[in-house]
Amino acid sequence: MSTKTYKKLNESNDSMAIFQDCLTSFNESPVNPKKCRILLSKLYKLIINSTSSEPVFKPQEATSLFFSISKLFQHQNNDSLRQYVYLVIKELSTMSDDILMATASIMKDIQSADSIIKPNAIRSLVRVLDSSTALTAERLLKSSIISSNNDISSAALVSSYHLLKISDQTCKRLINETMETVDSKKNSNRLPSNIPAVDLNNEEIEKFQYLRVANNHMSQYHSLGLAYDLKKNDDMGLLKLIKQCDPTSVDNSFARMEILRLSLKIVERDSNKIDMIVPYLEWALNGTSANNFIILEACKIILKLKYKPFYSIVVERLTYLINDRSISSKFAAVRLISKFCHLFEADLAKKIGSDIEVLVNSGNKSISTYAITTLLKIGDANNIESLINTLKANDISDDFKIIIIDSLSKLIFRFPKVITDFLLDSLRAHEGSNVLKNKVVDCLIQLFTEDQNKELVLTESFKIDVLESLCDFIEDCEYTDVLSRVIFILGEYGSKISVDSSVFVRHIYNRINLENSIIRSSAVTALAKFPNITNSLLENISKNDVDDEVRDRACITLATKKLNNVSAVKDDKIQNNSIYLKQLEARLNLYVQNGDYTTFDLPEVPDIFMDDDVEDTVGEHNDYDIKEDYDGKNDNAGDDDSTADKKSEYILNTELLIKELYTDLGKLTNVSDFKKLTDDSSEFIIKCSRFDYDSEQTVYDFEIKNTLDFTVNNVNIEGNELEEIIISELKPNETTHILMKASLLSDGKYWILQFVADDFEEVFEFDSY
Amino acid sequence: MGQLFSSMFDRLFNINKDFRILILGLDGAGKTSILYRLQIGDIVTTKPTIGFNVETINYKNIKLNVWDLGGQTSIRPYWRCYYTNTQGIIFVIDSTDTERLQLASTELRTMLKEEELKDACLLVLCNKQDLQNAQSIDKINETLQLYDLKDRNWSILGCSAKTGDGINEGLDWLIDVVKENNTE
Repeated sequence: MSTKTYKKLNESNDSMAIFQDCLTSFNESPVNPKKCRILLSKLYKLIINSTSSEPVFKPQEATSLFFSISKLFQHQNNDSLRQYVYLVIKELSTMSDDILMATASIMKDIQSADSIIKPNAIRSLVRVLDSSTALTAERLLKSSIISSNNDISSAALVSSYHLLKISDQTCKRLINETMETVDSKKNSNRLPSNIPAVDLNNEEIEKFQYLRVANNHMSQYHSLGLAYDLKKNDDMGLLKLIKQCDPTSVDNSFARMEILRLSLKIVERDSNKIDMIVPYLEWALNGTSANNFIILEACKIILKLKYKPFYSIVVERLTYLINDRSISSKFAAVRLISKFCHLFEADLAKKIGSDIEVLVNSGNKSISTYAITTLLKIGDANNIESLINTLKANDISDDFKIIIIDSLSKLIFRFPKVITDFLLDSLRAHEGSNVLKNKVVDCLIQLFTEDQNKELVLTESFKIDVLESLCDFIEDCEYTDVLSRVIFILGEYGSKISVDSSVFVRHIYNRINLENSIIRSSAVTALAKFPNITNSLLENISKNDVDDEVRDRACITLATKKLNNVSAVKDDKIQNNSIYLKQLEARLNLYVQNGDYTTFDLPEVPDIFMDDDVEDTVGEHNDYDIKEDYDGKNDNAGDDDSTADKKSEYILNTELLIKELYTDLGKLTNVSDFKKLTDDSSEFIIKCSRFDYDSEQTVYDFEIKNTLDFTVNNVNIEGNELEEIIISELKPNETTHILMKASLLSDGKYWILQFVADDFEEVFEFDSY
Repeated sequence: MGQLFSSMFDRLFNINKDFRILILGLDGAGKTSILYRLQIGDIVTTKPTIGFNVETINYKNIKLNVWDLGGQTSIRPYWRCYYTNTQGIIFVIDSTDTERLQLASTELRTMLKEEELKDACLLVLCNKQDLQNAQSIDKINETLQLYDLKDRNWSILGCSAKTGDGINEGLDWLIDVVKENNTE
């Protein structure tokens, strides 16, 4: 007969008490291993469970703890104590100073200790190494990686992966050993191969078997990860790596999946390599032994690569996963479908749609939400009303609501009534995050703009209903930005309603009396849209409001009304163009500086900004939300955005400078990219870009960077017919720009620019181009 | 009668107690080699110790915890973290390194000033005596000036970790005095 008892420990968990206990116990001679083990476990619990952002111990305390723990190394042959020591050292290594003192002791354990504590030792070793001591670990890591014990090998591989950040030099020397491990079969002694004879229910047995299969030869997965990181800049090496271990020769499931992912990375870099990945995908889709997550990964890759020939089998496989017993497979599959369903042609979409419909009523809300989203996207929306009713009945989280609203926004114009009802409900609901409510407002704005573009197809009474609901909403809204955007809608579209619009004015004007200055400002702008009713209100505001901005806006509105026909900057193309706005700002600054308030020219919009990459960027920005669903490329979009922005900013700034120097150049027609005139190793790096104007004149912008480690004074630049240009000083790594009209340079084939500094002289000759 | 028993127990207890010995000295003096000469009785290949090595050695029925602390300049400041409860110090000197003998002497003196080590016995081992250019013990002691130490048991001996000469003799002396110190 057996009994099980549990005694609750009623000891204090105060960090200082444990700290003191640790110091005294660990410094005893001889130490009491059992007591130390308990203390270490308490200490570990304390550190691990700490939720505050501050470390549990101050550096000084952590250091004295660390030194007393290091004294426990004298206690040989006690594996469980040593394992605890390693666990705690790993945690302390981030808080304590002088952690290198444990290096030699840990290394000794890796060399000689038994296989139980070796993995722990290896993992701790990496935490105490720094870039100067990393090299001493090379031999140990090498021998551990090729160890026939899976746990030791895995520990060494993962540790080396972490070591990359500390010393990639050391890790690069491990490449041969790593490659050796990629397809070797090592057994783990952690998991028994037989199911333990305990009473387990079916699910637990399944989980256990899964773990066993997945963990077998785990070092294959870890070595792949490390090998990829070591070779990631070497395309040929990566290809070789993938070829060496195609998924059939490797038998760890995680490793197989990793190979699929790595091949995707290669194909993304070079689409010609797609032939290489196809047999793998075929294997993964048809393989009977493959795990669900491998099938899923293969489907994802095919959809990402848009590899059409496999679509039908992908659909078949995903249908299989949807009907799988496991909730996680179902979820993953339906999420994948919802992301990529727009790729499927009608018949495939229909095929998968019928299976998805079953999921709408799934007990799992996440699954049913994704199912609804997918159905909305597939456009099989005959029963959209019932779908939305299901949505209303489901109590779904904000994140999912946002996903759904995204897909609804594409349908809103086809089913305005139903969807708007749903949107207004979400907007008015008391819970709901700022992001969600903004999304709803986005959607509504989209509805109204589309309505305008399509010449008012929505009935007026419907619009009045929507706007009146919004009027109710602004009475009670906690988010300033949402509120001011709704006020914008009311002003912009309420003023276009042909019947009496004074009801909107009343609601907006109420805000003036009740809300903060940001909302008051937008309310003023909105009121300005109702010119006939609101003049007296605005006059009142312009005199009495406490906030500058609010008064200013009211005054400007009144002033422009008096002028009657000021052509405001109305063009949509201009309004959406950040470059133009920047230029306008620059002009205005100049205008204010000059102090001559008589004339002000609005800047023209140079064509160059409108036609090439810049417009793409703007367009991309507007389509952001929509595009996000269609392809995964949005990760890059941000980057393109910023480089394009930088370039346009450069062009803009330079153009202004040029205008100050030379007048009568006319309109800018073309700007070339920077061309390097010198190589990177020279004392000065000189780059040049060319600005062409429609007066057939050209200005060159020379960018000169001083790469010397001292400041050069009086850099004197002389050209053939050029006046001298002197840069009084150029600090190390400083960059300066010189603008020159082409006609000032000689028209010969070469330009000779002479750089004369205080103590040396350098002549550059360039091809004119 | 009771008193006699208790004093006998005391004696027994003290003799069975672990002793804690530190091996200190400049880098490259041969501390790690001496530690493993004591433990396995043979010469091992070593590399500079980053941190410390600690071994338990059973020597003539006495359990010794021997700590070999790294001697590099960067590690020397941490020696003091391991001083508590130390009964014996083995200070190792490279007999061929005349240039740094003065530095070794300074380090030795700094260490001896520590409060925690005031009762510890000192054994100075002049290692590498098997080499041609090794200096004699007398010559070394001219720099170390150990004769000044009046309130501490000390001894200076020549030895070679490579051949094993002199190591056991040194340890025998150290254990004798440590035992004596702790039974008083």
